[in-house]
Amino acid sequence: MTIDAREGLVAHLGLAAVGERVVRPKHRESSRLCVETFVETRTPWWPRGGGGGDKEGDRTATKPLAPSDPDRWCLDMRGLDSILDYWPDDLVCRVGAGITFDNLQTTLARRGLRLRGSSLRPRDTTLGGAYARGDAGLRGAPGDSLRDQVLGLVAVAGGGEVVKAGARVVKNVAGYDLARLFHGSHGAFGVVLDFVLRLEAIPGASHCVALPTNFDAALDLLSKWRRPARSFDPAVQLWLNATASRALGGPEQGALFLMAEGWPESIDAWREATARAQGVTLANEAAQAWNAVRDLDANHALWIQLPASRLVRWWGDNQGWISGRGSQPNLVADLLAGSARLWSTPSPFDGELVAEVARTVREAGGWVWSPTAASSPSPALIRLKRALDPHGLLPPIPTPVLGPTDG
Amino acid sequence: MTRPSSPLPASARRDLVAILGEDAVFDDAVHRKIYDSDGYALDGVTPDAVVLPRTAVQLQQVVKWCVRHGVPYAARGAGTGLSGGCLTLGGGIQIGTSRLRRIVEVNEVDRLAVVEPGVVNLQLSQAVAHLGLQFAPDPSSQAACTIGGNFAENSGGPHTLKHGVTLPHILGATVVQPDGELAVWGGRSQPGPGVDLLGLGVGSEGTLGIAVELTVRLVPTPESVATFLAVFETEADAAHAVSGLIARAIVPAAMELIDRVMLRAVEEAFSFGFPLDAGAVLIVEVDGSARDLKHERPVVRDVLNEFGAREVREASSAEERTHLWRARKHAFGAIGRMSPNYATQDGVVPRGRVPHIVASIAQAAKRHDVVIGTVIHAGDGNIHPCVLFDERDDAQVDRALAACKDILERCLELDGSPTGEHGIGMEKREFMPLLFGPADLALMTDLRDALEPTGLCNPHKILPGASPCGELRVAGRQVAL
Ligand SMILES: Cc1cc2nc3c(=O)[nH]c(=O)nc-3n(C[C@H](O)[C@H](O)[C@H](O)COP(=O)(O)OP(=O)(O)OC[C@H]3O[C@@H](n4cnc5c(N)ncnc54)[C@H](O)[C@@H]3O)c2cc1C
Repeated sequence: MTIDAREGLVAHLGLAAVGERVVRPKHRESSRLCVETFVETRTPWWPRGGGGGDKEGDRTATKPLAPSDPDRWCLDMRGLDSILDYWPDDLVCRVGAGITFDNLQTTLARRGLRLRGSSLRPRDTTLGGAYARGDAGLRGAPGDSLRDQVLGLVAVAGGGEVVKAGARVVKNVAGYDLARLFHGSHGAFGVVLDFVLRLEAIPGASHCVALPTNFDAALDLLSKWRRPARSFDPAVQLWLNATASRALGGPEQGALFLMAEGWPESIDAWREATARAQGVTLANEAAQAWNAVRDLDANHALWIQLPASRLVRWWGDNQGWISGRGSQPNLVADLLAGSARLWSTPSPFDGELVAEVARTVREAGGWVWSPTAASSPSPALIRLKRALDPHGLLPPIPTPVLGPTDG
Repeated sequence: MTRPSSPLPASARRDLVAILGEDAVFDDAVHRKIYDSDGYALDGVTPDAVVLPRTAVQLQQVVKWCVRHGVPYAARGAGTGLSGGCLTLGGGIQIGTSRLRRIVEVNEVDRLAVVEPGVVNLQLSQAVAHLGLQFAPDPSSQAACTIGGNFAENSGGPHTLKHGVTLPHILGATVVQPDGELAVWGGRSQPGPGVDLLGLGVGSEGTLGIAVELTVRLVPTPESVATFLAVFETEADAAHAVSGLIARAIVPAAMELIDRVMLRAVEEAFSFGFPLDAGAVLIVEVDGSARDLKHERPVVRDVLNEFGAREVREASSAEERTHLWRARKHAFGAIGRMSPNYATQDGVVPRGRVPHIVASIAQAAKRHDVVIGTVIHAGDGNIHPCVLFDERDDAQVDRALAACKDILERCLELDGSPTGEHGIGMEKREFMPLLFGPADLALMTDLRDALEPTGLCNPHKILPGASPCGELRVAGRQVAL
């Protein structure tokens, strides 16, 4: 970035908003201006949200999946943190992409509303950050992920142009859904400025339980519930292996964490039935347990995508050798979403182990995403990247370590 | 790039027969005529040929052949689309998926199914019903339309209020990309990190590739269901009741508004017992556990009464409920009996603005002197006005088209969209610049060029611009609506 350009930014945004290779706009227009400046001066840049549970605090350019290039500027979106519009009859609102889930949910709760499916997230996670990471938020039932609550958005694409996607309506099939471009793409195509979101009423009651269970027992329980299908399922179904469970203060042998929501009568009945049928330990300190789960450091985890039944089989087949490599694997599996986070304590997995995990998951028909290792994008994605980021200023496209179609 | 439709040259026919066999290539006049339209009956486009592959490999070979020879092509499911999506605008080959109709796998623990694209929507739900599961998207055309078509159109239906449209129900797709190569979008899990090609593909109207296999979610069939029919003096009262229910934290599985004109048509066809003097009826269905319904039933009744329902009936048996839904889902067929022709429109407004659009539809009918019968997926704000006309009368045709245009423009004024489920296709391209700015449209063009560099995969759809028209069925029709 040239000195003139930097001064231009200071003149528009104020001195406090322009730091050492970081700008912190507060509004849509100032964000656009920042991107325009990056484009004009051909300055590499990347957008950031709250750091998504990054335990080491406010680090920017060294965050996983953020480029390590020291000359890259950071567009810190946390200043765009307000609710911009609210349409009560439609249960729809428009918010700045830098708002945190906590902040949004607290404000909405005053009106008895919430954004669906976002309870289990690190506190500092912004909507923009979670959306860019494709983070469904440990709540994977159909229609529950953040992706499915976004009705529209405004973004600045890599070339500097402001684009609008979707609308204020819950159903809309006009044209290509540009909102999808920014989901899961880790800022490779641009930065989202604001979202139009669908909201819902907070359910009348909810209840959490932690069932001490090893993986086989979890699968057994799972099959019992799901066969034949029941219409009343817990909204959150997570399985934690022994290490993860212990680390989060849960049961010794591993735990099935469940959270059910609904009308008070239904939840009371579920609570009693669960306690009777499984002789379970009710997590009276449910809030504490959930807080521990939500604060887990997903940034450093491998993200595995396999549906529940295959995930269980895969873990059964592979946990032995993974543990045998001297690492302490932690696994949190979202059984509804068909995904899991796998990380190692105290030190991260080495590259060889990541590749081996990826190979076995791929054989089981799934994908593995890692903050540190990736394959090369397909020609179609390379063309897409060129179209949206014509000067190549944004971070690279995230790709799986190995996916079903990789050779 | 555009070229008129013409019969297949002999060499092309030979090549295609070599790939598919004699009984899967149709280029005679009769077949080309049969496939020259879809549910959007106003325009037609005669394809050069129709091919019906039996395997994904055959389909891929056909696409590769098209790419080699520069021949445009479009996928066709059941041809129930309402915006001309599967028509080969400017000529080319229609690739039908009707012989790709295997349910490859059902996994009840993971609640998913892997299907070929030509599987009919309702057949999948029927095939998994014994497991207590169903495929949630339920377009009114579900007895005919295919899951490939649902994927391409991101279809909705009466019950998508609670379960969402097609997008969240598609986990993965194996796609023959426009260059003929296979790609896997998504997988068997909730989409996570990585470019959301699956999300871009759903609703892209078959312009970014042809799905040859789809992994879809299944959801449990509810333990209990309660279906109410509320009778209102005016459409406005019925529309206000919709927001009233949502405000009481009830998310019905479905909430359908049927206006006076449509009511009469449906009653004449089905003799359900709808009151013919009513201004509108609202069908409200709630589902869930028996306990959930114990809570919701009285609330639904209270709210409907509070908003002026003069009568609230609950379906007393499964048969009565089925009959009621059959009546609703055949509403378009029923109105077809009232006039030689009708144009079904599809627009959306924010839910709180349903009363406004209801008033605007009445005004449009009056202003243009046409009869309009309307059904509304009211919880979603998704309107389907059916404008009646007689195509033999040019003046009526013009008035009908003008009324449609007025209504859709009004949807846009009310912060809505010109299509909630039927897609842009060839029908509504001219509305795109009213909804999106030049930068949005330029980005959409870039997106399509990046993912579809050949220009052969269902070209001239969705985006506005110089492109060929269909063979206008209706004399005097100037504008694609
Ligand atoms: C009476 C009636 C009622 C209707 N009700 C509804 C409703 O309630 N909700 C709703 O959303 N729609 C409704 N529709 C519209 C239509 O049924 C849906 O859009 C349906 O999804 C189309 O499916 P199809 O198999 O008929 O697809 P087609 O009409 O054959 O094709 C539609 C589009 O999908 C593409 N396509 C088809 N197969 C594939 C594939 N395998 N891969 C990629 N692209 C493909 C085609 O190229 C085309 O662009 C209705 C239509 C009618 C006639």
